Amino acid sequence: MIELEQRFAHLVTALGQRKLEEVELYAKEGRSHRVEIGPSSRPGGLVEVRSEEAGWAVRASGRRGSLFATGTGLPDPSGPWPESRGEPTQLPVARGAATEADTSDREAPLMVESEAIDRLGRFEPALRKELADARLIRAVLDDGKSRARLLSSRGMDCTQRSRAAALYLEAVAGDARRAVQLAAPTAIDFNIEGQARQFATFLTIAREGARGVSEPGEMVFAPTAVARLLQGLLPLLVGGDGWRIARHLRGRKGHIASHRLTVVDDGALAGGVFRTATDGEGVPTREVVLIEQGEYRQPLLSWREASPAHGESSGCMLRPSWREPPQPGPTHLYVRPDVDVSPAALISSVATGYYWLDALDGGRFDPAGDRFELPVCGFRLRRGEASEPVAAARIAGSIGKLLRGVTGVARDLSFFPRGYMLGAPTLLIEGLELTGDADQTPPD
Amino acid sequence: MSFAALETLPIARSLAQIADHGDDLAEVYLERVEEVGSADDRWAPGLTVRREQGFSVRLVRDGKTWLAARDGFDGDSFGAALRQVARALPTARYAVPRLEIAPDNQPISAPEVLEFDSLLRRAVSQHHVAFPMRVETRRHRREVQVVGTKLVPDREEELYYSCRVGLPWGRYGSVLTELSATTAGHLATGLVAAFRGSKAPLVEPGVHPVVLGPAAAAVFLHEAVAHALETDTLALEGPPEAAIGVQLGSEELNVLDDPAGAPSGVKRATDDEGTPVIRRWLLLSGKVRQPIADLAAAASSDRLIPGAGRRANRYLPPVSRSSHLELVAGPHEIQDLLTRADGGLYLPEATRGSLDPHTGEFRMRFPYGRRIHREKVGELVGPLVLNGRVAALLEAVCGVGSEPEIGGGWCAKGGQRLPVWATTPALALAGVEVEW
Repeated sequence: MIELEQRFAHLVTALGQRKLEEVELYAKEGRSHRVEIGPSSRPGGLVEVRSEEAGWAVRASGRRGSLFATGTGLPDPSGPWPESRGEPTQLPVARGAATEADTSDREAPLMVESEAIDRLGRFEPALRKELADARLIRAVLDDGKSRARLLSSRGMDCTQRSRAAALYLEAVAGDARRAVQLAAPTAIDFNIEGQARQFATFLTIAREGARGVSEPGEMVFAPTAVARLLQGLLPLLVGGDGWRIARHLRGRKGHIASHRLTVVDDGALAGGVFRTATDGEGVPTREVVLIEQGEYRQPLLSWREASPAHGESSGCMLRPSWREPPQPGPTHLYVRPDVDVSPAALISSVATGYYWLDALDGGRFDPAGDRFELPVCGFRLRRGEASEPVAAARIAGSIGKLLRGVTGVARDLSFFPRGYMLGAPTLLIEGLELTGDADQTPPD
Repeated sequence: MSFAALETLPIARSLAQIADHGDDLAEVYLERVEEVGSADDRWAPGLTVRREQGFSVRLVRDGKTWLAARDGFDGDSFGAALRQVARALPTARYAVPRLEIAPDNQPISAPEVLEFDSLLRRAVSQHHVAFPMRVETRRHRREVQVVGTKLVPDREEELYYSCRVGLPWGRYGSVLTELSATTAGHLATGLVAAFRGSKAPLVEPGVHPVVLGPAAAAVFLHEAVAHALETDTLALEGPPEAAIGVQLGSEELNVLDDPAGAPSGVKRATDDEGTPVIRRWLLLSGKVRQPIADLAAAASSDRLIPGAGRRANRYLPPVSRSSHLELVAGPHEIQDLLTRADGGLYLPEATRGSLDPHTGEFRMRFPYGRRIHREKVGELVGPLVLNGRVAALLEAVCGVGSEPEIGGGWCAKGGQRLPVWATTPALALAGVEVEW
């Protein structure tokens, strides 16, 4: 790392001679181990990949413009550098050292091949135990860790360590198909057998469930389905445009949502997969309340967008890779759970309605136009119990009505990867309407 | 960018040490990538440049694949990667070759990328409309060298461009072989139609005859023919070679994958596994002639021909993918096709297509369409979706146009993002399910 500091000093000198006074160097090293298996009926379909990456990114800016350059290894101060153009890029000023939370859990060795094969291999037998004709199409386990250092001419000097594992599962039964992507701090955190049971439920619903239901009723949304709703609301929750959208969505009492609904983003969330003390520009991360008990507090804003009129900033400039410039976005965006309410209590409170387990695709959300539609699957509920599977239904209506219709929030907060983490507990929502059939959009 | 000075013989010798079983496939894949981009985004700097280089070592044995990837080029990393994929400890220490390749120190210059934004905005304004756009243009250069235990093919180079336009009603992307006033004009025409289509009335859901314009036909064939005939898709239901001889679609369909016939800048003599490419007949009179196969798939059957292995990057093993689809032109002028689809829809371009490889369920999204009224292209309709089963859609083809056009797009199947090309005329389908 001494070499990196010396290189950064040379960079500042070299780029300074080109009238680029603001300079930032981001250097990242990482290792990952990926194991993929196919169906047991196709023996030999094993793929094992071990990657070691080392890359850098330089941002530099002066009065006449800015540049962003990246490459493998370490940067050569003598270049070649692209011409600086466009608008100058202002870099944040270091304001004290942000201490990284305990990172000891990120130092554990990556999963070895035999362990990964063993874990993935447990999925198909467990699935077949529940659903005899089901079969695995593809299972992929990715385990990786990285270390990044950020230095800037504005005094920024921080180190970020990260550790994350991803699991992809895809299975079929008859004409029904399901695929999920999950993320966890390490590969041993995935509950493979639990996933197999969930797959069996979804595949059974897809095969045997009713289509085109439209009878009214209260709706319970499982965390997976709530996460899809939350994803559709991102324009309201992230970036300066959020204020304008919130104005359209406000109800008569000035609240945007039910008093039961609180939405938070927290880059430093304890136990979070992507938790980090500083963001991709070295600005400290923190918890930001975006909707508090139904009241719109502010959108998620970077330090460049924040002002007394628009809201406080947080470290929310994401740098998922060294290859792209930092962009504003959420890290762990979630609906705050109610620890006193169990999901079962919400389900059993429904006389006539539905329990939506998942969305069939991302749906369509137009927060500015106050309308959405989401194809979903789950169960019909009668007197608090699942009475019939529903393979496809389409919910459509007003986003304002959706947010104000939340009448119950449970304690079962779960997170789902979308490039960032989206967290949701089970919700009970009233006043939504079904418009009839909905077919699943196959993946690209 | 050049691998010209690479000493390939010592690399091949090192590989031979790990390929110690008769049918082993071992290779080194080296790549250099340069991306120069410009975006009018408030977060983006004036010009962005990515220059990276690295390699991977791959061993395939009995259908299993081991791959080790590294950034940069050096002998020590190569030795470490070799040890990671080796299945047994060597009796003697691996001979590690020098892997010294001069860094790419060429000056960075991309005036065509910088100018395209204003060319595009000017072309849009010539339609007398204005709407907010976020334009991101990139130049992509890639150099690939594959070294096997027995063969060392010539290095391959690719140069192409991409343009992504963010609009208030969605994203609009294009992959291009050149940036010019002409390409800006074509792109602007599509953007303006999509803008007007976003405000146009929606089509009534139901079964309609349709004419797919050349660009939309390319997306259709990429999803419905190319993806359907890739060996990894076919293997989901049984041996891939079992598809040979199956009548997949209308007898009017004659479809090829011909990487050597791709536009200048992206044409290839060998694939990303170093295998010579072939002019591969996928469908002849609607019947499957040859699936799209890479080396690993072809090793499982002597009826499969390799030459279609592609990689998005060094970190992933190759997959069977098409490069440049060609639909053999038919006898019909566009007016004939409109006559066949009278009362239906003309769909010039698609934003995306998707195929569920398990069920054969197919879906294509269009930013806008036009009604065909009295055998003429008429008023705009809003965004719409075409649904159906691949087999039924390919059977519904009732006319192939006579004037092919060249186009490009991105394919993201299985998480590998690859540029794909097509030379296709328009295509008429007798009756397909359309919804908004």
